[in-house]
Amino acid sequence: MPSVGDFEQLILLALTRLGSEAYGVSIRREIEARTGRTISTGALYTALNRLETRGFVTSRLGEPTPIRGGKRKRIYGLRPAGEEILARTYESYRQMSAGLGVRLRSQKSS
Amino acid sequence: MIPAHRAPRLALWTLRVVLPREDFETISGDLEESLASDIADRLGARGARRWYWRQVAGIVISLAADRLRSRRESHAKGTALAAARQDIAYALRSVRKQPGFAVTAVLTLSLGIGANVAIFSVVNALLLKPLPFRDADRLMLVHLLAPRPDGRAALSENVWSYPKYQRLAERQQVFDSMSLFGDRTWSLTDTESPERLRGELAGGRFFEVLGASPVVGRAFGTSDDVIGNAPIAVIGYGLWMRRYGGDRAVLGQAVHLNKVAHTIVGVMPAGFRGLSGQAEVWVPMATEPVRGQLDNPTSHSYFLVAKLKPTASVERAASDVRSIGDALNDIYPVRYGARWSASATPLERERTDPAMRRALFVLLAAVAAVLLIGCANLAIVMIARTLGRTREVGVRLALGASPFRIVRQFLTEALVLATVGAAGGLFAGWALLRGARALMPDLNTALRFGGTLGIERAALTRRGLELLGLDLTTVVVTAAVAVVAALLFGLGPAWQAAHRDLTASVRSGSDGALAPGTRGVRMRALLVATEIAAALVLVVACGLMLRTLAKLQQTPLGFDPRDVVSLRLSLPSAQYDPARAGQLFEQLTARLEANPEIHVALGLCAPLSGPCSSTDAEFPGRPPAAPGARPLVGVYWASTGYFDTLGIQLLRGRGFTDRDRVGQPKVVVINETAARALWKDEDPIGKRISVGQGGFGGQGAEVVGIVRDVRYNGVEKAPMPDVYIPILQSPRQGVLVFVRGRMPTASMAGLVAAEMRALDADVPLSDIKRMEERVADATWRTRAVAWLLSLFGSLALLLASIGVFGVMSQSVAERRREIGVRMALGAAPRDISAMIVGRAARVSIAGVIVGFAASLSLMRVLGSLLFEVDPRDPATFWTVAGIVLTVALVASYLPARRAARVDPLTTMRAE
Repeated sequence: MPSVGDFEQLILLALTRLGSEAYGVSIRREIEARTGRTISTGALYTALNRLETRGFVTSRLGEPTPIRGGKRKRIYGLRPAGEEILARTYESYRQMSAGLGVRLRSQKSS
Repeated sequence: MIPAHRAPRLALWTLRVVLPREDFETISGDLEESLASDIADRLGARGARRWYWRQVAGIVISLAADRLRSRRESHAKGTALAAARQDIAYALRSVRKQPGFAVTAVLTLSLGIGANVAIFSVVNALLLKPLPFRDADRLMLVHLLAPRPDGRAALSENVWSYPKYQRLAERQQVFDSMSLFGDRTWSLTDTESPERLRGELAGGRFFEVLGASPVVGRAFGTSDDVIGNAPIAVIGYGLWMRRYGGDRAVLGQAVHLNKVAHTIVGVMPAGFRGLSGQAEVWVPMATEPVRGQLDNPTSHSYFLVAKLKPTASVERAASDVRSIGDALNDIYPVRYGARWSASATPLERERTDPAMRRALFVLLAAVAAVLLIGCANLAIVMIARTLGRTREVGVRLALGASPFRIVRQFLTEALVLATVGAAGGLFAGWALLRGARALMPDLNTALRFGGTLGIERAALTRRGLELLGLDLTTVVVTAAVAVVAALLFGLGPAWQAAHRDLTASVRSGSDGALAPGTRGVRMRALLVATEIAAALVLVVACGLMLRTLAKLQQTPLGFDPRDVVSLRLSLPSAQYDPARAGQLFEQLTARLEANPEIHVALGLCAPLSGPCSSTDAEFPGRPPAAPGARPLVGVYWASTGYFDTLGIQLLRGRGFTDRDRVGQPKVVVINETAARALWKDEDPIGKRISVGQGGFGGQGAEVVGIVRDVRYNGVEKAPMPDVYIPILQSPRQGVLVFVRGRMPTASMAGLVAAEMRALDADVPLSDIKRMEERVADATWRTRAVAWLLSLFGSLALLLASIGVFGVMSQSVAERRREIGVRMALGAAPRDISAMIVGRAARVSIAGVIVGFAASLSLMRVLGSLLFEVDPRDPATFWTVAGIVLTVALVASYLPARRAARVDPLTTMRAE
């Protein structure tokens, strides 16, 4: 059964949130804004590449915009396999963490 | 809208290089958008730049990591590259575990490879590196072949006269262009201290043929090389810097050569020293006729260099030139039936003296042998190390490692050591070269060789030493040598390691032992025997050279070189005819002789400096001999004090006196060989001899004295019949002054310079040398070869004895148990020592026999390098065999003593 790592999960989640507006900059901002961690372009790039070769995401070239110096975006989207693995990961996560919510939160605050 | 903050250009370029095109577009777009939208505001301009760089670095690292990871995933078994990396890491680890071995190995290799680098660099400079001329491989030297004056069949290489050259130039069809040239020395008389300047007289196409163009001004061409033109000169870079401070305004200025003003028209680039390799000034030959007129067919004064047509072959050129040379006989018939001819040889082939070439190859072979012995030593140690790892290898083989993998790993270890050794070798070679350069005499003098018709051929085209140094070729060759060395000392042990009986090695549990009689033991013995054989060959060669050197030093030179300084004075022919020159030199001698501490003499040629002048002799009193049967004699000019000053012993009759001058009856002094060869049983004193030189032909002169033979042509050349003529009866414009006195060279030269200045301030002193230096120069090559071979021979012997020591130590260690048992059964320590030494002796004797046999056939290559020593000289052979055998046995003594001290109890208990 295939599985994906922590960072890849965050990316898949970001793609779900962003819908058709997911590309490098917006994905990075989304994760940074929500998790507070800094994302390096290199890590993001290789992770997206790998997710794509493993068939979890798809990409297409978008339109050039002036703010990008006239360069095109690569727009990413979830494929069914990606949605499936995200759902499965979330499910096992939810199962494992059921009832632990209070303790996990208190650990964090202590 | 243009983004307010641009990406750093270099970072952007890096991305473009590492990323596929589409990815580059989208990612750099992303980065640019980030910059513009928030990063720049948040971090400021500098922070943004740093952020950008961090992103790019991250991308590069992620890419590299990703690529590595995916490769490892796709080839789970490991690719060749990954395995090699593993091997190298493993090799480094095992080297670190045994630093002693690593240091020894690297030092041995550094010395061996360093010696190879140094000698190869000299070979490279003198024989291989292209000469610094354009299309140097198409340049040829064309020689006129002259009938010898004694009419013997052999032709000798000669230089051209202008008319003969013209015949060749008209008829030849194989050369694009050709140019006469000749080396000359001029007195540079512009300043207070005149200087001797080496230069070349050159034809109009000289620079065209050599493909050389000036850095400043112009070179001269055919339109300048016209009789009657105003004198011009092209100067060398060194002279330009030294004398004119590199000032471009030098063009149009006059340089005074032998007091004649020459207008400077150009400056040649640094490194261009003409065909003599020493020239600093070039003058068109037509404006400077020397030694007779250009239209005189017998005024042979010029060398000829020619550039082959791209379509013509060397062979065709040679045969064309030969037929044109033969045709010269129709125009210039020789009286006594001999013939002219001509030959053409590639410049490349003439760049180095044949004896020098031979010496270099001998030395190259010697250093290769040293490296070979070093490699054998390392192989022996590697075998021991391999044994120490028997169990490890056995386990790996048992776990399924392929023998190939094991071999490769051992080879990698060897290669790592060899690589470090090669680096050390390059450094050692560089240091050796630097040291050698400081010690080397002026090689161009050492390479000087004599001409035939009294024309001195200075080391023209015998050149290349200025090209000495490390270069790419040397580095590549060093790398190749290192790889070969690694194979030599790594392959055997590696092979052995991979092909041992693995069950036995795993089971026996004892690391580091070879059962007697196994392949490993035989291989070790073979290696040591080879080392001893190679060392013996080297030491024999060294012995023969040392004997040659001793013979040279024992050879009576016929004169006493101590306390004599020699120097050359040349008077410009424009101001001095021979008679005036003779007067000036007589005055100079008189002024110098006023000083009671010195004695002064004049001559023309120094002993040991090569043939000076020779001609055929006739005897007015005897019936005329056939032209071919006339004896050849050397002719030397000598002043009154010549024999006393140079310590040449007068055997009979008298030397020259001041009364033997122009107008008085002509007299000569002859040497012993002349007395013996030309007069046999008669008494030569009072007899007459005629030599066609210096006005002593015709009725000739009376022999008044006989002196001891002096070696003029070189220490190893037997003296010819020589005839001395008094310089007062045949004055010359240039002389060699000999000053004997117990004073430093500079003081004596200073005395001469002071007196000379009083007579004519514009005559420089040149070629100032003590006679001891001339003796040293004459034996320089032999001394250098003997010295280097001694060095390499000792090194070889040392390495071989280390080899013997190592193998015997190993063998004692392995046989500890056996020795213990023997001693327990009653063997005396002496028997044990004898057994070990006996074993060493067997191997050593085998090596000595092989080396002896090899030397018998190999020493022939020394050939012309030897002097009065037979290449199979029995004394040398037997002495060396004795030395080598003794050294080997001494080296085995220490392990033997250790064997004798084995305590049987300890060894038995260890079981």
